[in-house]
Amino acid sequence: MDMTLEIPTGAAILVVLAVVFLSTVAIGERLSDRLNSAPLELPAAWERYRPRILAGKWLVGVWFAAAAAALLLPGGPARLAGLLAFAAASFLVIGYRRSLAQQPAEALDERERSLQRSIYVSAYRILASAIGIAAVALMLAEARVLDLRLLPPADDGTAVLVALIFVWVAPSLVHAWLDPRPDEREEDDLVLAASR
Amino acid sequence: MTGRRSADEPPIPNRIAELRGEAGLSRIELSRLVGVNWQTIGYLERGEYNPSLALAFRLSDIFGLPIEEIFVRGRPGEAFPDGSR
Repeated sequence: MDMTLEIPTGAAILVVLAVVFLSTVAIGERLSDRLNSAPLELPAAWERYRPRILAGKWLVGVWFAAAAAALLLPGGPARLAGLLAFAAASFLVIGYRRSLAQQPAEALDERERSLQRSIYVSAYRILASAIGIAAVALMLAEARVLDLRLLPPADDGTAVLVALIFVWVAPSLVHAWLDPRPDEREEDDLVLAASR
Repeated sequence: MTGRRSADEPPIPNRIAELRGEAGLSRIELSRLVGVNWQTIGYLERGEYNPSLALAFRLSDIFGLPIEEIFVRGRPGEAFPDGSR
């Protein structure tokens, strides 16, 4: 059976990353709850201006959309805008104030350390699965079962850059997706007031 | 995952919210006393996180009660031995 698949290299990379990400943390994670996603909090210096602008799962969607823009938009100003959007989205993911992924263990309590460990386990699982899928596709192509024709990306460097940045941001993306809505301080005050 | 107890690990009902209220402590104040993030107190109170023995002992010291009067083995909503929930 011969199958011919002709797709842009950038799209292939992104599809593999997105599918593996979703299958690992969304479908494979029983506790994931779409309606209970943590709002994104900006770095502390900006907090008083606009503490929350996006829910965690939206942040994941924004990052993948920005990566698609960086990889797939044609040259010129549109491509530059795509790259800038990708840089901004990656900055938001990494700068995400509540992201445990980038914090040293000694800054975290026992619950957060356990969460951080499980985030990295999921991130490594995603990366290993993505590499596995790519390897299988290449082997099928080599065995001439799959006629895989990867169209050259607009810029080879961008495809490599997106893949490398994914390795860096994957733990933060996993955390953004899975983190439930945090407690509100107001809720705490209400509990306290009711008890007094 | 997410640092909460796993799905197959039963929650341990506790009286942290009640005892915190009686002591007049906010979550932030209690979290400073036991050395955890204030949101971890919320996770504990809702039974979404089972603490380590060390943290349970710190809570026991703060409330001046033995651990078994703060945490009770059972299902969510199950009454404590004195009939409270």
